Amino acid sequence: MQRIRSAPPRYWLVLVAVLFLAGLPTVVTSFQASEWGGALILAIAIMGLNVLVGYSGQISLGHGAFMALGAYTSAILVHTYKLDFVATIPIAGVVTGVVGFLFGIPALRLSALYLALATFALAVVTPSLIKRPATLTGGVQGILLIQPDPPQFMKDGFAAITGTPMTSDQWIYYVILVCALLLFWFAWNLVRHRPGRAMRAVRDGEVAAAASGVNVAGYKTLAFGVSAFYAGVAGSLFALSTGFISPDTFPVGLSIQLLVGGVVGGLASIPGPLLGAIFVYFLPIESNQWVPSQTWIPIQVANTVVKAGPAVTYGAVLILIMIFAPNGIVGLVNAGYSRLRRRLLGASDRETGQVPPGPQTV
Amino acid sequence: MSPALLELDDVRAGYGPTSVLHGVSLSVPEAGIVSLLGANGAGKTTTLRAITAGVRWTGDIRFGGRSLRRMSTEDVVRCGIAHVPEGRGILTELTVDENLRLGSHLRRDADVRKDYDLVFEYFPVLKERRRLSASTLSGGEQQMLAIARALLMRPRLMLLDEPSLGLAPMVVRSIFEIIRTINQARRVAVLLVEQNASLALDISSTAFVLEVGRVAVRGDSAQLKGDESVRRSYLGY
Amino acid sequence: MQELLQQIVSGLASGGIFASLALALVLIYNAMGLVNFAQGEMAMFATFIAFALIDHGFSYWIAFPITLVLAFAGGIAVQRIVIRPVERAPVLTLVIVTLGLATLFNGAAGFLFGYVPRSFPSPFSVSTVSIFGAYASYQDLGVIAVSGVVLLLIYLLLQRTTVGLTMRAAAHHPEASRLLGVRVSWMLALGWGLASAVGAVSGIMAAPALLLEPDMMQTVIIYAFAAAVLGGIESPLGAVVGGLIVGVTVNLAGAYLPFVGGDLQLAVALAIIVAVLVVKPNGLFGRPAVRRV
Repeated sequence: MQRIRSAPPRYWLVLVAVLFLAGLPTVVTSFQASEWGGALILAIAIMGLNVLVGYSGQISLGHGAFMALGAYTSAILVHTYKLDFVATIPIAGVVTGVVGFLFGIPALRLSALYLALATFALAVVTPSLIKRPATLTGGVQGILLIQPDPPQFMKDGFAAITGTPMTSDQWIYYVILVCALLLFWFAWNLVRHRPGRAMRAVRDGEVAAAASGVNVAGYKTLAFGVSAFYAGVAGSLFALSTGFISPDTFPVGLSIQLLVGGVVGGLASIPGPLLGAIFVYFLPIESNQWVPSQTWIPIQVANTVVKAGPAVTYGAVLILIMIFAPNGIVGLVNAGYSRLRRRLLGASDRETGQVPPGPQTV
Repeated sequence: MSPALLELDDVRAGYGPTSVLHGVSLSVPEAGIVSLLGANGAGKTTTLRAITAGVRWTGDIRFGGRSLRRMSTEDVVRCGIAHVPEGRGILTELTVDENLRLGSHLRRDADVRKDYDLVFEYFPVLKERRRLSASTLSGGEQQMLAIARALLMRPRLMLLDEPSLGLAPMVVRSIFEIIRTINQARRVAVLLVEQNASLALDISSTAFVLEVGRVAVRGDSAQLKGDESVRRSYLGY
Repeated sequence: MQELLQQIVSGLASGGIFASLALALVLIYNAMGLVNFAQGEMAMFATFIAFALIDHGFSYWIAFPITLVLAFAGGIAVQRIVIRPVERAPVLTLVIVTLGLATLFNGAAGFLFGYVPRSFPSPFSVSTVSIFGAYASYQDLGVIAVSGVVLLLIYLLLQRTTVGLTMRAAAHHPEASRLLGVRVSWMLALGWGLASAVGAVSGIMAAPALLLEPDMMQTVIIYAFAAAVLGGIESPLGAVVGGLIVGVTVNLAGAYLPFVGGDLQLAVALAIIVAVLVVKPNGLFGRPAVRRV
């Protein structure tokens, strides 16, 4: 009882969030549940990217490529080899994770800038690379998957609560949710314990970290592997939830979306990826729905705005956040929270906040 | 008494939370040579950096009667102060000639040509190596380049930070000769930071000794040189 | 043999375009140690402006310099407004800011001009002239000529003028330059302006072949990256040489290697980047470990 009472507020927040997400399909439409599923998929991928960028300090502008790999792995296994789709999720994750780990080895030699360039080029080239082995990947036509039915006991259980049997979309949502919870929990543990500390040491100063006995190369490649694993799982879930993938599903914009989501949510934090994913996922949808519904906007303008809107907003938001709040939403919240706490708990007589611009007098 | 060219008035400065200068006051007269002495860490370099806005400072710094508060480095320099920093500030990506041109690039007067002739007269090696990259110069040659470049700026005041550092005695001697000549022929004032107190006292008329961010001793250079107790306690010899 | 010559000339023309954009990248890299991921999008936007001018009746050779001036001003504005506030931030932040700019310009172009590809006029006819028995189009030769002139002008500006000198000084040695009275911040802005103008040239030269639309420069910038990396990210000369090499190589690969079709030419560029980074990370003309003071 004592431990529950003294648990810090953020544990309560986590509980609330989990309950919210678990209960969601019971109160919204099946379609909306699948939308939230989409956001959760992005959250998983962004969480992976966060491990790489936020915690180990390496840049990647090409995580869309890893998602593509995971997606195609799953799709091919289901479509050609008739595996059960849930089983393909960890397989896709591991395959992508290994590839990511291998990718991390030459990446060690690249400075931040060159790594950004190399991963960016990878992202641009990905659609072309997918098209080539056409017999395996279905080429330009992509792969079509049939969405599975939920198991009977889930259908019945759901019907008992809400009155209607569970749909395919809702079942997939729960699969995604479970994966997301598992992976977020894993990431949380990772950063709390030695690997996380080691990675942060590497991020903050490689030379110092190496001098302290941290295996810099090992942790950097591990970070690549882990983050690719997450992206692979996300890609696999993506394939399964949308039912169709093709080379055009994974353009450069996806990789940039992931980075935006990570940054906006707040790098080097656990809740950040979820918040960023929600932002990144729902912005285009909302602007797509809100603008056309305004009858005073002529249709041609509405159409162009719908196409242009997210891009301009993304761009502007990114820039503004980097200028004013480089630590993203989580950073803002933390800063606001600590300021509030200081005020509420009664700050000491010493001035808080601003460091005097000039030198301190002795 | 004529107003000083440069005046520092209770200047405090530091780097972030660390305070280095705790109230330094000194002055440099028109066309005078003043040396700033003291042990490592006493704050000599910081004092020079404060003048050219390389660190934040409080108090007042006046040049030609005009306060330098809130001015950026480049604007302070444009007022007529040339600062040869520790490490000389040679632009090693550029040639010797390009370094020199950066010294004179702000000037519009007709004497630039004459000054180049003067500079090459003082430092013939620079004329030989004009087209070469500045990184090919030896330490002494780089010091010459730095001073030549400062000369070409036609400053009213030169700040020299440890010009003798790492140089052979012969080279040091010739450089100090040139500093003296510049000062006398061109009426350029000099504020000289030096570890080599003896050299500095020989060339300067006044000296300030810094200790832990404050002026511990000030006075006529010749007198200080003769004062054995001062030499022992503050100048290390 | 004749076909080889034709491919080479074509390759040089593409190479001129890549070289111009690569030069823009190098100019900004020298100024601030990062690659401007928005360079291609800014070039595309400038090309749209040129298009708008021509559409409103200006002749090509009037619209061209006006666009360059506007691009120059635009580059300065971007540096003053967006880049300066984050000047001292870590590399990652700057990368993200330039990505944000790229997205912004792309979206703005789509918003203002739409997504329908448009044909962009070229002052050079597509008829061919015979050189040593091979056929080269006036278009290709024109692109080579224009690129060459622009690159030459930039070279003269940087190496032979005082402004160019102060720009180079500010780029390589900002602190030491301040002590020489160089207004470093404005020199950086100038660098951005210049880079923007050079990028605009790249866009205008590329538009007739690629068709003008917001995503037009997305492949070009990859080639430009490859060129800059190959030549050495700090070397303007390297950017030019790298651009020409990349242009010719990609063209020849596309023509003579059967499995490299139109879309995998890009992968050739990626392969070049990877190969250079593995074998000689500083590129052909780059120098290791530049200390900035």
